[in-house]
Amino acid sequence: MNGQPLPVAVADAARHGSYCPKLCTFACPVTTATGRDDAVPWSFHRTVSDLADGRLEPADAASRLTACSGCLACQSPCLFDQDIPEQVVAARSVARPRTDASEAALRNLAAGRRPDGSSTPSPVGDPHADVVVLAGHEDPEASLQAAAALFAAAGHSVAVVAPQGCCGALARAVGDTELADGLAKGLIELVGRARVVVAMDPHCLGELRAALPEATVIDVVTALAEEVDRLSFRQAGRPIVWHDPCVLARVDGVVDAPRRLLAVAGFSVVEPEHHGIETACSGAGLAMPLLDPAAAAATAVRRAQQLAGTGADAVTSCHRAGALLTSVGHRTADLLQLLADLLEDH
Amino acid sequence: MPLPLDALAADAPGTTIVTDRAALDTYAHDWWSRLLMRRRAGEDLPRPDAVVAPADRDELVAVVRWAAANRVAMVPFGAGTGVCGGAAPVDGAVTVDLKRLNRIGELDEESGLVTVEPGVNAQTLENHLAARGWTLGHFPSSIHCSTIGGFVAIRSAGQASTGYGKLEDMVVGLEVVLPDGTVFAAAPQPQSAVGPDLKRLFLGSEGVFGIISSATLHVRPMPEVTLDRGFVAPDFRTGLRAIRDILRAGVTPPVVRLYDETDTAVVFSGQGIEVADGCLIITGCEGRQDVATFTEQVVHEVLSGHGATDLGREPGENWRANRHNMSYRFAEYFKPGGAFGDAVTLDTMEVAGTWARLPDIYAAVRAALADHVDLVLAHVSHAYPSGACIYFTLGAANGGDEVRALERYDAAWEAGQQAVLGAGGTGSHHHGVGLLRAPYLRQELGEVGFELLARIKDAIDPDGVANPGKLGLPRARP
Repeated sequence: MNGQPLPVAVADAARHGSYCPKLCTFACPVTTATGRDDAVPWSFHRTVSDLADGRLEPADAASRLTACSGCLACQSPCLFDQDIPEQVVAARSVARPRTDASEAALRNLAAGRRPDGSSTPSPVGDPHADVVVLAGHEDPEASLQAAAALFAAAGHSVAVVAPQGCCGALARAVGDTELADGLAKGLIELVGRARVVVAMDPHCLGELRAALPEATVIDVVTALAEEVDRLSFRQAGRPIVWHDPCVLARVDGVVDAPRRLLAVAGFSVVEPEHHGIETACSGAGLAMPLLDPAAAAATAVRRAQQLAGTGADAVTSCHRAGALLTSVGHRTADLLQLLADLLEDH
Repeated sequence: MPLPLDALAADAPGTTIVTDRAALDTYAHDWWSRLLMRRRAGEDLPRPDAVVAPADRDELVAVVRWAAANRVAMVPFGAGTGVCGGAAPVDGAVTVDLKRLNRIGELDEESGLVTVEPGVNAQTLENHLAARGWTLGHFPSSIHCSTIGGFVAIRSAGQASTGYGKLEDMVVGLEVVLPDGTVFAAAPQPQSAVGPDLKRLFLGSEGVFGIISSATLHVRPMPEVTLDRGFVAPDFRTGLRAIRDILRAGVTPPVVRLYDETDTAVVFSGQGIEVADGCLIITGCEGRQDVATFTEQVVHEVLSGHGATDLGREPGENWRANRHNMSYRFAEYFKPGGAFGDAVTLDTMEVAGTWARLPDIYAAVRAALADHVDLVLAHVSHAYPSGACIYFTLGAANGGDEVRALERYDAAWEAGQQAVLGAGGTGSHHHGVGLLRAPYLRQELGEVGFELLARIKDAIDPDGVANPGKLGLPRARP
């Protein structure tokens, strides 16, 4: 067997990890929720290194590459900053794990539709604005409207747009690099001359930063928190629990901004077991709901239990997480819609 | 003969059955260095014929009954991080992955008890307890990657064992699925005098008497404070006497560690601190503020009386902050092209003995290991009223020669085990037996002792289906 052409740094990191005694096992929310051996972060090191070294054929590796949500919890304790999601995505690009759901999603993306087959929402706001707010592929139209309303209330004119299909992050996560690159190219035309791009879905941040190196890419929670002095809300006067999206908390370190926004709107924020940069994953990332729905659901159930343990209503800014948590019975509100409903005179 | 897996699928419909090669490869070894070295050398390690992962306790019972009915051997497998080959696959057997049995029961705050399934990750349990203001007090360096079932099965010890005991001391109730599929249950009791304590038969049994399906553990409130400190003793022998005298004074600091001169140099330089002459001692006193403060005062007084120098809190706090780093750095040293080149020999050997014999055990084992490897470090990390554990680290660079790496490994283990047994110690303090120490069990237990173990095995598992070949027991009785 010949080794697969994975990036050298990725293969080296995987080889290193394959000799690490599984120390980040405790940190992985998918392992904890499912008890599955193929979800243990070390198993990904082993599979990826075996793939790189020709000890495993891509077809044999495919089924071993599905149970990662890309939450990077395994990186937190690691002295070597191992990026397992990067290794998984690289291996998926050659092993091509597929399910009926992922195949359908890729077909829809290639046709310019959202992964679920729905059409792209219409743009909202001022199409010529200097600031573009980019929706994720699961953000509903109401969320786009809410974003426009919130920025307008802060005195800004913005364009809220959704890419045709997705920004490319989902296709890349599934392992279709070619499609992902094509989708990412479309972002340049979509964004136009805007120098500031605000991402509604934290999963898009990495893809946007890679595709739009000239632009400043920030997440919507940080962008709104910077406007907090200009926003006026009716006071909610009730407790709420914030689900920290993994990527937002661990990669960008955005943990204070959402709590500041919620506090300004009169919520008392209570904390669940696992919060801030130690947040626990909902199971929604790295295309896990498409490639391994059982693992995604189990991970969501566990996170839902933690959120429910606070007794407060839950809210997040990651619509993928919110939808998955809601689908397992724990209704999780969308931050933008929640705040927009509380705007004075809204 | 092919495994009757269709019948298993019918008997245990919620059990995952794995037969594809990529998955089986990950069960081909646990974290026994010898198996890892063989893998590193490019050897295609034997893998299990199948892996079965029951979803819950009832499914585990169904799996064991299926195995008993079909005389299929079973190898229990938790996280696969044991270091003696106890979870290594056996030809013709199924590996039983217990990670899906990962439920943590209600915390009984009245009695300080929690019941957990064997697949619960130890750090996950500790986080669960910490969120409620409690702790198990069991902190081995493998806490991030090991399961409670594995800890019970090998009689694990944690870094705070001097105060809190080994894990076996925390087990107050136990449930085990016996090799015929019947279930033995020892209800939680603080103590009892109803004959022998049968649950202790299964502590350290490494799966040869059945598969642990749950354990009820004694937990305690989180300590109010932890006071860490460093000292330097003039020499190792004096350090041993000083630790003994701390315990004789009537206090039990959870953490008491003594490093020999070489290990001291490694620890100090690792912390970026100038190397001191002598042997480093780390103490950790905890509990209520007044209790921890008093304990530390006694520790200070005893150590000073033995000529130890107080280094302040920094070495102790550094140790606590970095105590898992050596484990995290294992791959850096061990992997091909690692920090010391290809084909290193690397392992640890933890032994124990009484205070009277410890100096001789230390000298004998150290010398025996040093005959075969380049580097020998040693520290005492678990102390008791009658003696302590000495934890040796052995390492050798072999210039890329994997054959030589294995030869030196085998020679060092043979010499080290013979040395400790010859000096009157025990060959393992808390890593267990597995395949690694199997050759030495008869010698340590004696003919009568080993024959008793074998008779018990025969009585419980006449068909020899429970983790055959482990604990030095033959795969099938003649």
